[in-house]
This record gives sequence, structure tokens and C-alpha cells, in this order.
Amino acid sequence: MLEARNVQYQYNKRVVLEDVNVQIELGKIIVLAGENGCGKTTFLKLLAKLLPPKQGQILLNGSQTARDTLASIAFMPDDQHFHPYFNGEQLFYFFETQFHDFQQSKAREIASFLKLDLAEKISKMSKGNISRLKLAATFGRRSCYYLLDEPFEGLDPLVREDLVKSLIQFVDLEKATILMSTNEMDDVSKIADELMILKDGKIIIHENLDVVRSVHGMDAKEWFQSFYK
Amino acid sequence: MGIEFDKDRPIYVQLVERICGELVSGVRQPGDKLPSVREFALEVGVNTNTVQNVYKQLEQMQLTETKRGQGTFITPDILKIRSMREDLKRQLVDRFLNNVETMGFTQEEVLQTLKERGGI
Repeated sequence: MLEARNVQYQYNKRVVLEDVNVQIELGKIIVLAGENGCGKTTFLKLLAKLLPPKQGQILLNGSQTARDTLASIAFMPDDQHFHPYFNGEQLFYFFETQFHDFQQSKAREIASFLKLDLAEKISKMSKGNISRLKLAATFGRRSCYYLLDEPFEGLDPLVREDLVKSLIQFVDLEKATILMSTNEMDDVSKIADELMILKDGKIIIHENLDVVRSVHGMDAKEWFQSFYK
Repeated sequence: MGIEFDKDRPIYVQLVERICGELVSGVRQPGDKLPSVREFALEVGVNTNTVQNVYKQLEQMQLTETKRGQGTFITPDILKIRSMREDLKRQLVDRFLNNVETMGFTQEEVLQTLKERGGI
């Protein structure tokens, strides 16, 4: 379990996360939603231990030690800083040198499912193909928690559909959890188990979507919008 | 991708109904193999947890059997399917009557209209 306990974060004097408490179990697809600038990226980076919280704790399986954290958590950033002269193949070799849990064979399988040409230079790739490559590289890692920051933003519907299909195809929900930030509920409402809403520096909602459907008669999109009216 | 779902009921419930409907209409036959969890998830565009849950429900309803290493199959027991067919019919009629009564129609006038319409 990945857990945030009383987590607070601020940039200079601007408090982004005030008091975040959340428990993330293994074996789920979870959507993290919230208005632009509400702190979703900061929260994901804290969970990935890429930023230290100003107050509070991030615990992995009850422990704060960071020793095995890097192998357990894969963070996929919104922007990408891949070397533009690399091709896909070189990127995978680079990932192999950076992450002990990276498996060439898995990354290649995903790349082939997404019909990527691994010989093409990243500088020549379309935005859609860069996103596909980013996903293949991220899920080439054998992690327990995949934290994806805005995986669908700015992509056309065909690419988004491709990415959703790969999530269904390649994530073993017996061993892993995906937490992804997005407000594109149409893309994810059918594949998400839970919805989390970050608002005013806190997680105000963390709910199972089957419950939302039965109790409130709403899908993820309506439920999300109901908090901003 | 996949299929559309109603907003007001869990997706797994709707998928169980869908498969029951396919059994009633004969799209799926007794003894047929169901797709693997992942295949079915991709086909309808939901995650594998949801499909696991659907298959678990079907098994509890005794409509499917899991054969080790071979997958999940529709039961060859026609009686089980027949009884599910009856249950489903009753559920649909109940839901229909509930709707028309909520709107203020009486059962008699609804029955009258059904007769006029379909020569019952």
C-alpha cells in the first residue's frame, strides 16, 4: 500500500497541498482529478518520492525508507525530456541502464502492440507516437505503482484509445496499481475502479465508482462535475 | 472503443445482464467457451477487475464453469439457463410495470394496450 499521511507542500509561500491523507491499495486503476493548478502533479511527484513533503509522510507498505522505492514506483511525467536524437530502441537501452526493473522484452511487446517504429528518431516522431513510446517505456518497468501525469492531455481520440487499450492489455492488476491524473473522464470512466478529487489542497473524495453509480446514479464525469457547481 | 453503459448501475452488473441476454437469445450456447478475462476486457473496454467480477458473478449464478487451465465455459446444463431465462423475464416485466405504475397507468390499461398492439 502507498500512503500519504498529513502531507503538506508549498512552493515558497504558496501552499499547494494543505493536508493530504490517502491510502492507495494494490490492484486498482485510480483516477486523480481536479482543476488545473490544484496540485495533482505535485501530489504525484511526492508519492513517487521525487519531491520531499514539507510536512507529513509518504509511506510504502508502512515504511518510509526509500531504499526499494525507486523500483516499486514508476512515474510517467506530463512533459518528456527524452534525448531527441535517440530512436525508440536507444531509449529502451537507456531505460535499462537507469531502472533495474526495466524489461526490454516487455517494452518491445507494448511498442509492437502500439505499432511503433523503434528505429524512428524521437525528434521526427509525432506527438501521438511520443506518447505511445513514453507509455511503452514506463510499462516496460516491472513496478507496483504506476503514477501517470496527464497521460491523455493534448492527444487525439485515436491515440487516447490506443493508450487505454494498452493499459487494459499490459497491466497486471493482481500485482500493480495505476494512479493517473486526468480530467478527461470520458476516456477513463469505464476503466477506473476509483476516483480521487483534489481540491483546495486536500483529497476531498476517494470513492469506488461502482458505489458512485449505485448510490448516486452518476458516472465519473457527472460525479466529478457535481463538485464544481 | 467497446460499448456504452448506463450511468446508474455498476458496469459489472450490466455486463452480467448482457451475457445473460446473449444466453437467452442464443448468441452464446451451452458449452461455449467465454473469452479470457483480458480479451473480454479489451472487447468491451473495461478493466480486468471488472471482468473478473463479472465471471465470478456468473459462476455464482451457476451459469458458467471454470475448467482448470482451459478457461471459462457456459454451463451445458440447459435447466440452469432456462431458470435464468425465467428470472430475467420476470425482472424485465417487474421493471416495466414499476415504470408504468410510477407514471400513473393502471395494469389493466397497460394490458389492454399490449393486447391491441401485439394480438395477445
